[in-house]
Amino acid sequence: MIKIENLRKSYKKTEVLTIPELIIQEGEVIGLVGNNGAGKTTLFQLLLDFIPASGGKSMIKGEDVKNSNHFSSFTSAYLDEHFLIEFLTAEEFFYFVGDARNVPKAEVDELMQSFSDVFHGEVLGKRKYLRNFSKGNQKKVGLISTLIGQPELLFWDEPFANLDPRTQLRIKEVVQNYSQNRTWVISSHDLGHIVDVCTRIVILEKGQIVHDIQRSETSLDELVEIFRK
Amino acid sequence: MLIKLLKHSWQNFWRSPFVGEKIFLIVLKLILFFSIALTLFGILGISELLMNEGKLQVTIHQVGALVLVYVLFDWVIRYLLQSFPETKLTPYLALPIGRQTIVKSIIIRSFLSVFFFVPFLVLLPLNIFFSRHFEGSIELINLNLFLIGSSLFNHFLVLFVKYKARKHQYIPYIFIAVLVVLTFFQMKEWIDLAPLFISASEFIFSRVFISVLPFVLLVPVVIMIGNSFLQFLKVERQENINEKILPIQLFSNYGKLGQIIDFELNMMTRLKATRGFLLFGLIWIAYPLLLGLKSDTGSIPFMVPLAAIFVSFGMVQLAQFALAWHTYHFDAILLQQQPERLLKGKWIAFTLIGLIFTFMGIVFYSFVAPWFIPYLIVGFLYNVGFTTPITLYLGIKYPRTKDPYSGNVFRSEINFQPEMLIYGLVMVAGIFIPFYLGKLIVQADWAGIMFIFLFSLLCLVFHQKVVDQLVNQFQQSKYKVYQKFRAFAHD
Repeated sequence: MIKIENLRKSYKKTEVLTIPELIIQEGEVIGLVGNNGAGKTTLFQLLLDFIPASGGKSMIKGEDVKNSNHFSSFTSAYLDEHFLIEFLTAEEFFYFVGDARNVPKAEVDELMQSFSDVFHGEVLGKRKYLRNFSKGNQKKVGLISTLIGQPELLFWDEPFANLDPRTQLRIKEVVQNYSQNRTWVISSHDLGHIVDVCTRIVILEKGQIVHDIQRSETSLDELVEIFRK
Repeated sequence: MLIKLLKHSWQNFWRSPFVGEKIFLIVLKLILFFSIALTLFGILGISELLMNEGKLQVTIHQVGALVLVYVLFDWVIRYLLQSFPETKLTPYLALPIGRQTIVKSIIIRSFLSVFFFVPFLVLLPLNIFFSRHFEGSIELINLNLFLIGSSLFNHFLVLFVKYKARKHQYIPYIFIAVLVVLTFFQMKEWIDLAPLFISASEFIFSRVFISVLPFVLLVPVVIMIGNSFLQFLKVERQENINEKILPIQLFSNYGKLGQIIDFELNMMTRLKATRGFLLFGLIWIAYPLLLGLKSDTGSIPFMVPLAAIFVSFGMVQLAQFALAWHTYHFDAILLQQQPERLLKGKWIAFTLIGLIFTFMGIVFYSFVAPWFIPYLIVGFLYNVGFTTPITLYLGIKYPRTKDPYSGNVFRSEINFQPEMLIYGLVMVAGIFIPFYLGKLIVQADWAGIMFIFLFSLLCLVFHQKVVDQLVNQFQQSKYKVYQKFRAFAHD
């Protein structure tokens, strides 16, 4: 699904990301873990072609993202609140995303209703613009909007941050339930959640992949050990 | 999808916190209603209104009063729309929406702005009236130049304040307050004009218009001043302005006020847009005075055609400024492999606007002053052949970089460039040199205009080459531009 070749990103003379090779197969749920400034968000932005690479290629389904926008038709992403259209209500935003992804309104309604427990009655039918929502509710809207149209590839940056415990559990359920035939790249500082939902864990440090491990029963201990060093 | 994106633009405005208060929104709608009324009123009846049996019924002071209100009105509308919240492109880019569609929506949106149409629609009826009365004499040119100059000056001030990271929003309100005071001093002229409006007009709203408009304009001003004052109190004052980002430091040693003055000077000289507006604003404001002085020497005839080219030039510049309003998006679009289309799209947009103005001018002047038409065409050619490519080039050479996350403008690496002044002079001299060269060689006024024509044609012949070169430069610079501000953004 994703193939990275000699991908580099530098600002002035500082190299912030260097990935010689990374291949993500279809159906994998990848957990990106790393300290602040490790390059997780930069990697997302490069994969989405939001920022130019200083060198190398990132390819989705064999097409260099730099040359083609085709990947956006089957890719969804929520990195931060900048992915929301702040002056729309939650419903308007969901419908707009549905429209862009050619999803009928009824289907969007169905999806919204299926997550009504996550919204706690604070999001839908409130006639409140997204910018006025709390960080947590903004995140809920953003994450759930990425499920519209059943995309094949999803990027989530810090999906568990700012969320209440119940929603965190629900989000984990979503990944577990929806991850069949879908490729998911999730970054998080919560090692427990990452181990719970991901099939493979990639650890970034200072812009480089330092570990790439398949999930196992000992993964959490391994991660804890790595970050203790 | 294009329509939906355009709809989002307006939703973004109407739903922004800036117009969020309901009272404010109602007042704003009233202003927009009056703008439409003013336009209709002006187009349909202003010349009949001001003239009675072929005799001018108003004094120049009364016209001044009208113009003053126009400037105030233009300022209020322009200020509101310049504060239009910037649309974040990220959500759209993350969706399967064609990037070309996003670019188109941005370009089209520029043409839908009220602040773009209103000044033009006010200019047109006033032109008709003054052409009929003064037969295209110096007053017509002066009025045009004054209105365009005031619009550009307003535009400059708005951008000037906007780029200050919204920390000194009280400045435009001071300007508005001064205009309001001046307008009230002109109330006598308004009262004297009232019977004329009422008797000449068949529109019922004229009575309302004449008596209510100044007050309607006053209400949002008061609200804005109050609101701004409250915000001003809340603003965390910047204690230490980084010396590195202020290459011009004249008054910084004289306390907070001195620092602010230095900050203003730096913004004016370091930002492409404000620098350009400053330059053109000064030219447009100064030019009527120059013309006025010329009229005393009796040298109007050949100055009028030259001024016509300047007027046409101003129109196209106005269009460019409307598009420059969206320079925020420029950086984002740079990343999306759209530079070639965007650049050409911009050039085409400028050309189309110039073409529309020229065509309208031809229709208009064919009734009142057919001799004027060749000059309009020359002016159009000059604009599309010479000034527009230079403006685009400057946009590439001195792009404004802005961090979309913090909203800060970063120019720390690009200090004041003296060559900017040279480009400005080239743009101005580009019209004077061929004119006077032609006039000197052939010893006739028309020769000057012909030389400008030939010069413009030459530019147009090389146009494709020039634009291709610009596109190449654009391609090379796009990542550099982005890196400049990404360097400041958070990982």
